[in-house]
Amino acid sequence: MALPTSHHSGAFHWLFQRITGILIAVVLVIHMGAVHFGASPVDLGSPFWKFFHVGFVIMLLYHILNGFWLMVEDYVHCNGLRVVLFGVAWIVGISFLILGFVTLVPFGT
Amino acid sequence: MRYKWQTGALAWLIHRITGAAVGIYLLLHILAQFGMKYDQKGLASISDFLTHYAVVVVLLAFLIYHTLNGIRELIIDFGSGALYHKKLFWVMMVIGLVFFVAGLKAI
Repeated sequence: MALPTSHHSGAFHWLFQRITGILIAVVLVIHMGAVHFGASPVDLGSPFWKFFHVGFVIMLLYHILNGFWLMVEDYVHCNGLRVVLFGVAWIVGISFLILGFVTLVPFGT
Repeated sequence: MRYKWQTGALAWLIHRITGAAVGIYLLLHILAQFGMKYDQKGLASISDFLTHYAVVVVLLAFLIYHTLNGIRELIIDFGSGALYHKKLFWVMMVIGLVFFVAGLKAI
């Protein structure tokens, strides 16, 4: 193995990619039903929907960026580029977590 | 990385492509909602792009594929799906087609 590897096997992320995948599928259906195709509009400013959507954003970011990282591990063999892309994933994750937070938390005010 | 062009590898590759595309869509969706909340006119074009009919149709197809192939992978990983993963792929594609047609009528 030419590439340096982590002490972690990655099994946690493998399992969590599946757990978040299942949760996202369920939450996405509820989100679509409530927000985009709702027969009656829901109050997105209520605490329930704020928690719901903040949780949704966190799960999505994990699933998206872990998926991104799986692809980097498979296709990118240059160590330097891997380090850069690892940083990019973290910056995107934290930025969009902040974007989601400042959009959702004051919703309806 | 080299792929053997068989059902499993193709399903996996399409899973990645659809995952990347849907992931980018959802990040843009978050960005567009932020733009709406804080009245950022520059981000309005993102919203127009995301709600364009052709984009929504592609999103629908990609999401259905990614979800159903994800379920197929769960059955392979946690069940005995490895024994019939090819058959399972086509079963999922038929189910997906039904969802796609239903989705097209809804949008």
